[in-house]
Amino acid sequence: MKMGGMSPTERSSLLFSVLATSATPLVTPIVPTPLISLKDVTITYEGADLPVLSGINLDIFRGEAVLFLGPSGCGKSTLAMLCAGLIPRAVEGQVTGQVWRHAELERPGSIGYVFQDPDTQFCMLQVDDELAFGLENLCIPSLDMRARMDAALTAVGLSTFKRARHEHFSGGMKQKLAIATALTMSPGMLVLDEPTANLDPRSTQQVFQQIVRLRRQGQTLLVIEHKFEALVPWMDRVVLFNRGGQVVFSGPIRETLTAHWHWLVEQGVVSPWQNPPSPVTSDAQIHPLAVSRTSSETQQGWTFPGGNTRGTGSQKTASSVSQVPAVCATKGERTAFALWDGELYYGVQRVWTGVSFNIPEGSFTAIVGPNGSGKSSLLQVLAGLQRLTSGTVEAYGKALKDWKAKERTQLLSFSFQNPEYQFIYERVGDELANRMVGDKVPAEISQLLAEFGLEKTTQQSPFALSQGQKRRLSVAAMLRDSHRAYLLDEPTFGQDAHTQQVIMEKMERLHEAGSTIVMTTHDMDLVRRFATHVLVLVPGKLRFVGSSQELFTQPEIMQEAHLLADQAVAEEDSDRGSCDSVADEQQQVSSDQWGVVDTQVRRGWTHSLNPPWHLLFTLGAIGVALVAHSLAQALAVFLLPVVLMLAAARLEPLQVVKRLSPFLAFYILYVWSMTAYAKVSPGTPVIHILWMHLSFPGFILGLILALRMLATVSFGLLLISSTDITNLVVGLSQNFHVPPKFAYGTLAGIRFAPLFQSEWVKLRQARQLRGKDARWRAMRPITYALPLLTQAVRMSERVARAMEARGFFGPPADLPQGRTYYRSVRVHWWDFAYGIGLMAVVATLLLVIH
Amino acid sequence: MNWKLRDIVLAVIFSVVCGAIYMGWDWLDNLVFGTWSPALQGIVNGMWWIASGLVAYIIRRPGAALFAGFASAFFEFAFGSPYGTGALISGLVQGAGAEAGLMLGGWRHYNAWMMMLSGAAGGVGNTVQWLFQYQGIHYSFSTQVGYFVLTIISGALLAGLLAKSVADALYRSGTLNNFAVAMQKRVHGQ
Repeated sequence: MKMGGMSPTERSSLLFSVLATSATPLVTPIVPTPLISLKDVTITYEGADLPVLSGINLDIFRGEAVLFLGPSGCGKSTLAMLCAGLIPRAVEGQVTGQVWRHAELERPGSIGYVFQDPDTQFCMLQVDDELAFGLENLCIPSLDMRARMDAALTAVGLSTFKRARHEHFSGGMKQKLAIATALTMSPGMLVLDEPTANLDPRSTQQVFQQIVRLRRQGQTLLVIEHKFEALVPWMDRVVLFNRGGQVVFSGPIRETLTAHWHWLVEQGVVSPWQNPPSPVTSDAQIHPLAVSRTSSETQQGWTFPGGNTRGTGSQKTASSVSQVPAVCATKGERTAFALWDGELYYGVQRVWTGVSFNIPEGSFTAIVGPNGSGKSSLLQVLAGLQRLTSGTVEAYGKALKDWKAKERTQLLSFSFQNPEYQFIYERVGDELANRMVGDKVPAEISQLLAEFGLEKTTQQSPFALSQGQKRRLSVAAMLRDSHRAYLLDEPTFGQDAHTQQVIMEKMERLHEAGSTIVMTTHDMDLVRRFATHVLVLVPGKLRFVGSSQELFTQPEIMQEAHLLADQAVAEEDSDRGSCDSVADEQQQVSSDQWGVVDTQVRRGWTHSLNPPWHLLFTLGAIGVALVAHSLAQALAVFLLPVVLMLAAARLEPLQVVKRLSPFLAFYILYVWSMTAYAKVSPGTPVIHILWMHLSFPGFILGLILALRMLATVSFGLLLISSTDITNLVVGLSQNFHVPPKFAYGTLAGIRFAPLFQSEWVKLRQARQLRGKDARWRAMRPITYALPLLTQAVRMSERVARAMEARGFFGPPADLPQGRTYYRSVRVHWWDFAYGIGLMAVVATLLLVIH
Repeated sequence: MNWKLRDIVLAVIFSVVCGAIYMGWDWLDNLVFGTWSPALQGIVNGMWWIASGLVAYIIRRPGAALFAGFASAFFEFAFGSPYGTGALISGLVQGAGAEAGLMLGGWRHYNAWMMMLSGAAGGVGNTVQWLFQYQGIHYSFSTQVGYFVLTIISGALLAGLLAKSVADALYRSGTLNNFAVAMQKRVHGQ
């Protein structure tokens, strides 16, 4: 696959000799060194009929910053993954043509890769472990790791978070951490593959600032970004892709964008209402250090084109201003939704409190605010999917809970952020018709499919559609029946300009026809263009209710709600930005350890046990404990781990009781089964009820069983409360020679345990909204399994890809001794003393007690 | 060892999902069925090793069923199953059973019959544990036979056929293109 013909180095040396003869012999001419060179490359994915990319010719030079631009699904990421060597190693694909990489890029980890989804590119639980993972793959000695980790964390402004767990980081922090993990490995080139797609405007800005900083340091960059405007001054070259997966234009960024702007609009890469960048090459390009003002002017020029294009004037004047509680309907206007003193808590965590507002009928209302401020929850409250902790919510003059389920499905329509949650059929045609139609797709359904450009997919699985197609299908499903209100959770999330346009035009048409539209979004351009009213949430409360015009005159609110992405991307703010978030995030990151069981405050000596050996000896001990066959023995083997929990693991008695109590009801059932069904010797008095025969010996057998089960649970609690999961998994490689692939792969998967709980809740909510006819179908296990498991498959692929991008392949992944270890998990004599002692004590108890 | 990293991560994430399902199943099984008849309990048992069938069918590697069986049980345990560390033993014996079933086909055949055999073999592991750990030996012989037969049928249906049908639906959704199931289906059609 590699090489063949003349390599670029050879070509450049040829070029060199030509230049050398024509120039003054003493001056060494500067010849750009290509890092990557592709010639006539075609890539076809496994199972696909057509290549995703074809005829690609591209050189990337050292120190260059290249932007890839094209419609969704055009193969930009594929090409970036090819450059990074992830195709065909980590992702299956047929590659033809010549791919040449400079020798310095052949070292593992020498091409850093930051992916779009902040949640699926980590494989450890703690920040320091995460950074160390890549260094371990490079076999850096553990003593040298700290300096490199500190340097990378400082570079992205996360140095105070070294010991934090990153699961509760904001999206922006996660992306900065992802950049840091790449930087620790001193990459020759860094690929950023839509790093801000899932981020709110301010987090986006934080990431952009980071990109600018890297650019200034001369880092070679390959950036894929839909919201590319702010980056224009910092990029050298743009490569434009068409829908068919070909590179059509490539050249200096400003000139190329300006020259082909019309084409970009046509391809659906940029919205028709966007303006091209100013064609002048600004100082920015030549003196990147002197820039922030220039770029901010350029920015202003094109992110705010023509101001408002909103429809009817009547609603715009409505509303009282800014301070909550506030109401945005004026007299005479009817109210679609109203909320009084709304309060929402998840467990003990406050989402928001004191939220009151009216949404006028016929308005186009946007709910905006930073990531995690509870926008989606608010929208769900309005749809009756999420109950308020306290307060009332009304829809069309009647408390929402008084609407019958059936009436409510007719009244309003809801679209989830992840369209897959709503799908319950295995064919697009059935899904849209909301019943099995097979090949006989009704005319009105075909028409709707055609309107959304889905006519060719009628027989496909909805899950097999592209992101854009899925979103269009879910919006088409909303339009199948008419409703008075349409609620949409981030309808344009992750969509290219074309799909955005299709969706927003439909919504605008519904709005014009008098329907009420409420949507959450991060995109202030959409708010400016379409929304008549805006609700601004900031963490904990509602910050603003009013017309969107008013909002744009109050920059301080926009600043507070992280809505100002349009500012200049300058390095200076970034430290302040990250400091702001430190306080909020710091409290969140000190959360529990297993996602289920609380972390210990006090630590007993069982914590110093080697985790894998501890697990093994625990299994041994419960194996011996199974022999317990009298009540006294069973009681003894149950009390042993309880004593150890109190004395050795230093748990509070109350904690132990609290943790064991949920199981009591369960064991009572077991006692009952034995009492009612145990085989008894003839002559034993029994009580006959129905087909059961209750007996006293059976009851005792049941108690023994229950105590034995309590013993296994207690041994388990003892193990869990003294074990750090990372040490357990890393120890498997270090002490038991489990291939790191299995150990670290397992740890990567464990991270998703808490995630599925929330996915499950969302899935159930989405099912509530299906009409009655479809409900029996929604009950089928397969319709639950599909959305959850397709998600799981995609996550697995992304995580594995991200791990391989950090050098986790070959010996570091296959051989325990093929890598270094940041954490050293040791085995000591006391591990055996404890383990053998434990089993001996259990055995002795059983021998002594009868 | 020809496992790909994505195979391992998929096995683990599926095990997480299945571990959560097992938690709910623990209660359903005992409450709804166990109280009425210990033998009847067997009919829903197969769910407890569905991870073995599901993962093995998708990634098709020797050891997949055992690995997923143990991993899913480990998560069930970590989520706070009433079976405690007993769940780990279940994971081992049921996973080993399911693995043994697939081994009989040389880890090459993954048709409906093979999957049912594997699911049924998982039921053997389950029954052995039930007899010795959960006082099964104290029930009457007929109850034991009833439990065994129902468990095997349940294993064949839930851990075998249901697992296969879920995985096939996933395959149709196009998300499994990078896994062995899709590659073998393209070549052999099964």
